[in-house]
Amino acid sequence: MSSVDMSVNIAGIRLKNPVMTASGTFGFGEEYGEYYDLNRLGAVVVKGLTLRPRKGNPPPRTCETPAGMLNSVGLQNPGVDFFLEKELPRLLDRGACVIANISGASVDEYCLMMEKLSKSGVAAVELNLSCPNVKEGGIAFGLKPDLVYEVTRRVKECGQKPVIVKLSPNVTDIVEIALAAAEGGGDAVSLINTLLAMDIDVWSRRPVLGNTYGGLSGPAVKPVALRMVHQVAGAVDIPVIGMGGILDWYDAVQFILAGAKAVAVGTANFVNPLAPVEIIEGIERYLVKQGFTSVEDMVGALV
Amino acid sequence: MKEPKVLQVIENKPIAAGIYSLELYHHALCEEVLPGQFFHIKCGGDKFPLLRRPISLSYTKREKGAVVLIYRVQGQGTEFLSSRRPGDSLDVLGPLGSGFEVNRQYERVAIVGGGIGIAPLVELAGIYGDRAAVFAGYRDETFLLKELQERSADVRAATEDGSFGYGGFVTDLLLQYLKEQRTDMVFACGPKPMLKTVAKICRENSVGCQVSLEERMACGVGACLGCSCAVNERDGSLQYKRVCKDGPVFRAEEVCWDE
Ligand SMILES: Cc1cc2nc3c(=O)[nH]c(=O)nc-3n(C[C@H](O)[C@H](O)[C@H](O)COP(=O)(O)OP(=O)(O)OC[C@H]3O[C@@H](n4cnc5c(N)ncnc54)[C@H](O)[C@@H]3O)c2cc1C
Ligand SMILES: Cc1cc2nc3c(=O)[nH]c(=O)nc-3n(C[C@H](O)[C@H](O)[C@H](O)COP(=O)(O)O)c2cc1C
Ligand code: FES
Repeated sequence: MSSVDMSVNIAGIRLKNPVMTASGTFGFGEEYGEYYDLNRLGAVVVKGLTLRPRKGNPPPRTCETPAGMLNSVGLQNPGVDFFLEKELPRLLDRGACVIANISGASVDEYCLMMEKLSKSGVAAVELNLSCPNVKEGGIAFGLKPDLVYEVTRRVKECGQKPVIVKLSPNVTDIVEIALAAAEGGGDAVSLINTLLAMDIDVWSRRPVLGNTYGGLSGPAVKPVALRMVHQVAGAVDIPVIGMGGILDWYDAVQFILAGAKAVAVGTANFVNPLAPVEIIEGIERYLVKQGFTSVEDMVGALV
Repeated sequence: MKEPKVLQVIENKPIAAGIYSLELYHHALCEEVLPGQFFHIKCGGDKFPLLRRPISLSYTKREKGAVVLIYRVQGQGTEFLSSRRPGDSLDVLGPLGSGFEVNRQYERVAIVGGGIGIAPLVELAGIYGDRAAVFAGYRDETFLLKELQERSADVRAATEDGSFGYGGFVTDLLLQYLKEQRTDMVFACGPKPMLKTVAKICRENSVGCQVSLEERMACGVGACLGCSCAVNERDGSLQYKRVCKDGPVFRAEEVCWDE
């Protein structure tokens, strides 16, 4: 089994394998770190951070839907300073490769966070552009190519860490957004974030989520995610990190064949805490069976 | 390292309309689990339903090395559970959550359960035995009374339709009791409106109170922040805590009952 090279190069960082965790589904690694060594993962992408602590949305925040789930956590997090002081050292002690995921209400907030993270041990910074931009009247950054370009370019100027731009699927043309991220200097793109959705309880005649709307994730979104990864990988020269509904190695291999150089596991953690490590092993077995000598050879290898 | 456990079903039988008693074999677990903790159970043979379902420990059978869970069939997940037969296995995470804070010095406690919320209190009743007054509230049909009576000599039932025991809300019985009997702690589990009333009664009678809360869960282990409930911080601000990890048991006075 050791005959295949599982490592991948993303945004200038060498990951020991192509499997990372999806932001917001893995906390700061503490809980799932009780199930396996975090250094077995390609990378740990931590819960979305904001400049200041955020309380998050009122409950209920989750519900199951056919082959998926909705969440409206609302970016509850202790803030970037707390992360740097308390959570990051613990993760680094465990030998994890850490990617910080950040959300800002303005370009300046993204830059401030990047400056702080630049001086830390994180391997890269992922920009979550799905949250509303206060200055632009509440329009999410990730929905307009010129805003994506602008925030990516500015963040790149503010620090030295590689920048991964996370794309929202709630757009008409995801390729246009991915191109803007690449043009702005993004070192990689990751997709997809959750699809804006809702559920209704007909007996109480109320939305199920306290926040009315939430994000759909899990197997239900996989075909959409695969299509988007395939489109984006065909259009940009920077690496693509694929996610959306990956439950097992088979799903992960699909994303890599579609053009993703790495994959992230989100909702699957809730179903099976060992999912990421089982996926790593499964990809390795697949490579051996198919006669690939490295994961990178399999990237985009659709025939 | 922790891992998902595969537990064998010993017995799974109805004990009242739509309510089942599920006995699972696991020696080590039986020694480890605390009253108030829960298990996060995969309720489908294949991938769906996707998310696990949280079900509390009801009581342990130490001599058999078994844990007993009592559940009400609610939807797809619990429907699947009810179809499990002896010899089948279940994929289980846990025990999870904090459980009740058990102080063995207490001379007198009151244990209050409403409906299926009676189930998570049985093990606790066993710990306090005759130092516990147990209040069990039902809509109509009663269940688990024998198991409670085996653990405490003082079990009082209330039914809303008056078909058994006191006719009315179980909280009426609690109020009466607290007025007459000095009590060190009240432990409660049940529907939120009932818990809110219990919390109010305890506050007014200056008795400590621990409540076990429910919220929709995804991960069950504290990673997703999906199961939050509002609590009041000391400085008066509101914070969200995780029912699965910081709870499911909370001190009644910290819970924000109006959220
Ligand atoms: C900590 C905890 C302990 C619990 N202990 C018990 C117990 O001992 N016995 C028992 O009968 N029930 C218990 N419940 C409630 C039980 O989890 C739900 O009845 C069950 O999840 C319903 O699943 P379903 O697929 O049958 O129903 P559906 O209504 O189809 O479920 C749909 C979704 O909603 C969630 N959901 C529905 N009702 C609840 C609820 N009341 N609380 C949390 N999530 C819910 C489900 O988990 C699922 O994700 C507990 C809940 C929690 C949070
Ligand atoms: C509970 C939950 C919380 C999430 N929080 C974040 C977040 O803070 N930042 C972010 O960029 N994405 C967040 N996401 C999106 C995931 O990282 C991922 O993009 C999405 O869930 C699709 O992958 P999946 O189907 O494997 O879960 C969250 C998803 C879930 C389910
Ligand atoms: S269910 Fe995920 S934090 Fe509680």
